[in-house]
Amino acid sequence: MNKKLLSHFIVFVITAFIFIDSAAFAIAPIVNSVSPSSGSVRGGAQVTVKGFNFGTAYRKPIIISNGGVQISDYQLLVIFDTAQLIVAGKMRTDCGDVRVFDTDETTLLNYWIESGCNTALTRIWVKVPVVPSGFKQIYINYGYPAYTSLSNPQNVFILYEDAEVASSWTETTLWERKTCYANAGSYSWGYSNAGCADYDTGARNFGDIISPSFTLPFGTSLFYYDKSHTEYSGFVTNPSSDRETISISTDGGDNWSQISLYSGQWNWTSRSISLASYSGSNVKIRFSFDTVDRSNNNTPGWYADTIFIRKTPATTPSITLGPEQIVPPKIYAGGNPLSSVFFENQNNLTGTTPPHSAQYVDITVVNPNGESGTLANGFRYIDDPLTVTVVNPNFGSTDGGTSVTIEGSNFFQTPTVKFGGVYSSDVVFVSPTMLSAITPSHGAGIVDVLVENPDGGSGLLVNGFRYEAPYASGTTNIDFSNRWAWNDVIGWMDFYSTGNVNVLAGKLQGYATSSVGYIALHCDSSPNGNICGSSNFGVTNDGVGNLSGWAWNDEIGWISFDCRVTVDNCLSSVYQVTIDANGNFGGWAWNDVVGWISFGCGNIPGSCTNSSYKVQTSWRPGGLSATLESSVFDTRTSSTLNSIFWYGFLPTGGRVAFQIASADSPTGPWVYRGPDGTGSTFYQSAGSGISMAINRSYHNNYRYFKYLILIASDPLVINSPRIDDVFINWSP
Amino acid sequence: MGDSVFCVDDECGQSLLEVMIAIATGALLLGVATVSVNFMLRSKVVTKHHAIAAPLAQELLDNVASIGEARWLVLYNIPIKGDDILYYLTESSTSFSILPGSETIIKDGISYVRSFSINNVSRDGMNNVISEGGGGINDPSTQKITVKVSWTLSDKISFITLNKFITRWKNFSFGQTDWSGGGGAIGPFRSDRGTHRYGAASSAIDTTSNPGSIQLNL
Repeated sequence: MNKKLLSHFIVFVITAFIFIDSAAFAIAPIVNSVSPSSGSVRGGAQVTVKGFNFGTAYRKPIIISNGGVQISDYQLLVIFDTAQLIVAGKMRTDCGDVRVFDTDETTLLNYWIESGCNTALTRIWVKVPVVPSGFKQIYINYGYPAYTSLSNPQNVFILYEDAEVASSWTETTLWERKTCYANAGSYSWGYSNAGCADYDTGARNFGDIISPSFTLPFGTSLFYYDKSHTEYSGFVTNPSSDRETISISTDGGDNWSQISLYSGQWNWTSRSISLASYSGSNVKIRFSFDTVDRSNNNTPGWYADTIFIRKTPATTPSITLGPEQIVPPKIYAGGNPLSSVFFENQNNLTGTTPPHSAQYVDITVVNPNGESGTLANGFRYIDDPLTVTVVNPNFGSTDGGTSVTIEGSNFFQTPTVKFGGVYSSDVVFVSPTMLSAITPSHGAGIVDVLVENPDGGSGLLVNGFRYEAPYASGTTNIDFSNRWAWNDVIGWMDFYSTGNVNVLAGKLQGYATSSVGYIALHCDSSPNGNICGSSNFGVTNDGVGNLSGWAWNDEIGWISFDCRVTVDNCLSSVYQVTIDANGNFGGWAWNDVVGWISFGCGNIPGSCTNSSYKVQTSWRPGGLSATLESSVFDTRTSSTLNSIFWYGFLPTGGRVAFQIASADSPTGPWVYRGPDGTGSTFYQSAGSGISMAINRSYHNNYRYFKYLILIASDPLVINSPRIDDVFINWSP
Repeated sequence: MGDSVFCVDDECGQSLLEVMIAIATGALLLGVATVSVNFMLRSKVVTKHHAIAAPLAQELLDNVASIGEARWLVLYNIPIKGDDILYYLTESSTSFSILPGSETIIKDGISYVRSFSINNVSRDGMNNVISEGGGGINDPSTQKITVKVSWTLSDKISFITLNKFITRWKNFSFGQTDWSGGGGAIGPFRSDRGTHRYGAASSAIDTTSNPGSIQLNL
């Protein structure tokens, strides 16, 4: 028996020791290892942190349901059971470790524990910055033994006065902070003589307490508790009774409007008065007592306590407390918090690294109780080179405003983009390998495109974008920099500056400039317009880059692009102007007056070192493709895009394909996406009238959309697809 | 009398053993009968409560589905979803409102607790519905609704659940049949009215030679 008692005693002592140890003496966490021990400067590495004594706290989600309009700075009453949590050892007995967080789980919200700590009905007021129409979730956290209370009604209510400490309220005559009676705490405002036995001065007497000035937001009410031991008689029927009035002033106290006239309950009673009609005004509140006469002034007086003003919307939001959740420790890498931290057990945590510059950093675990442990140089950030590979489209107007996508690698969330040293105004991070941007205005010419990450890392695409001056007469597909042909007599011929030279699959169009005037490349687009009716000439393209035919200049006459079209028919000299797979012109043309015209320095070996010139076009032989971007379309609600199909004609070897962009704003950002969500793939059907399902994951709940059509000819550039109709199905 | 009757001194009857076997058999049959009757009575009670709960569940399921049909985004945009996040409906003269929690309906003196939950769903490569988180691609036009009705009887909780997949079936078609008005028309244009213009195009795009069609300028 004694042995049994002894064993029970030992178990009790050990249990008590463990309880005391865990409850009263917080144990600091120890960090032993991080795995993997290195990762990208972009962050995103999933790491496991191992050690000892990792601790947790607790929280409960509060789901706010608001059936009315959005409310700002709303005082939300939360009633929940703290007694159960305190018994379970999860909360301090004084509720001092209660914390309330906004939806982001990070922003601390102001709160006030009105009453009932360690009861089943603990009343906590929380000031919620925004309560939208519909649902919102905030969190009430606890389980931090080392914390002390942040409960403060002054931070919650628009006005709060409980007389517990001297405040900026002013008082006259018999009013003063008294300890005779209190609704809560030790003090209340009371109108009575010292000792609180009466307010008899031998004559009529009266006095006020007046609040400081403050501005009333929309839709508020005044709440207070009062206790009235005064001359109990209906003042309406007996004007000689004591008068207890509450008034409001909107002019700093010069004039007062009575908002309550009352004569008494002997017990502390909660009262409220709507202040809705004073929304937006700068006001003062006044409590006034007047004995009216010298009779019956021998009772304890009038007392007011717990005076506050809060919002009282037409529809009061309701709340639901969710199930308890575990709050894991925080993990920091180089001082920056890891995201998605998960508590596996007291020895294992997992999390995702934040971005950081390339270096070794300390890994610190901070338990919810504030205790922390650090593994010095526990993780190494390794640099990822930022690269820029593609800008699409790679040309645009000097006015700016061209929407481009930039492809590369290791883009961070908030990069900057410069076109020729000028910042883009509207950069949108799409993914670590894609950005979208709007080009700034810039002078004509080819510029470098620079992307810079916030950490200073950068990538440059040399000659990544070409600024073109807008031309009223049309557009050219001749490259801005590579636009020159040469003749020893008349010098340079410029195929770009008129803005109308285009290489098409069947011909050249427009006219170039030279020291002897315009050189017309086709009769249908001469400086005098279409003159084919009177002079039918032109430079032809066989679709694979072999030019032939004639151009015309008023000073020097015909220019032959192919010896086979001449009378000589290549007998004395073989020549032809061609376009290679990169769009570069090459070879020679001939004019009987000025002789050879060279379309590239490469015609003469070694000459490019002295003068590098050529004519280059964006057209490519072996098939022609082009794109059309639609206007912006407005579904007038948040919608999802379901499918797309087209009607028309698709020749053998041709192609019709689509990409879709969707956005919340009519100004974008616009990112064209194919089925895999990137700009690399297209919605492409086998032919006309075949519906293609749109990947709704990328086009869900956006109001605006655009589409892009890619049309490609057959390889011989003989037949073009024809699109008659485009249909897109969407759901509101 | 048959041969099996036991006789002593011309007096025939059953042996004690036979009587005991008969009593035992009778008791066994009586027990079985009692259990069966009890089971039948209990089954009848259970069936009765199921018969009350089932239409309650179906009613809520139909009402939630009707919200999805009328105002898809009201359902889809509920910020918190999952099996454990419960909601119920309140009905005004013109519409339903979704509130967090459950509602209690009393029928024949029994409290039936009714709620529903919403889950996102995904689809696999064959377009089959699979649970969210089970791989595949999220389908934002399909939601899984689960209605639960529970009741307590003699400290035992019973419940029924109904599931339904609802889809964003309402749809409209946008069509563009003409681009001959030229480029530079950014918009926005109403998708139900369209435009005969476009935003921008490569120079090789021809929208005018064959009015109403797009083709390449070869």
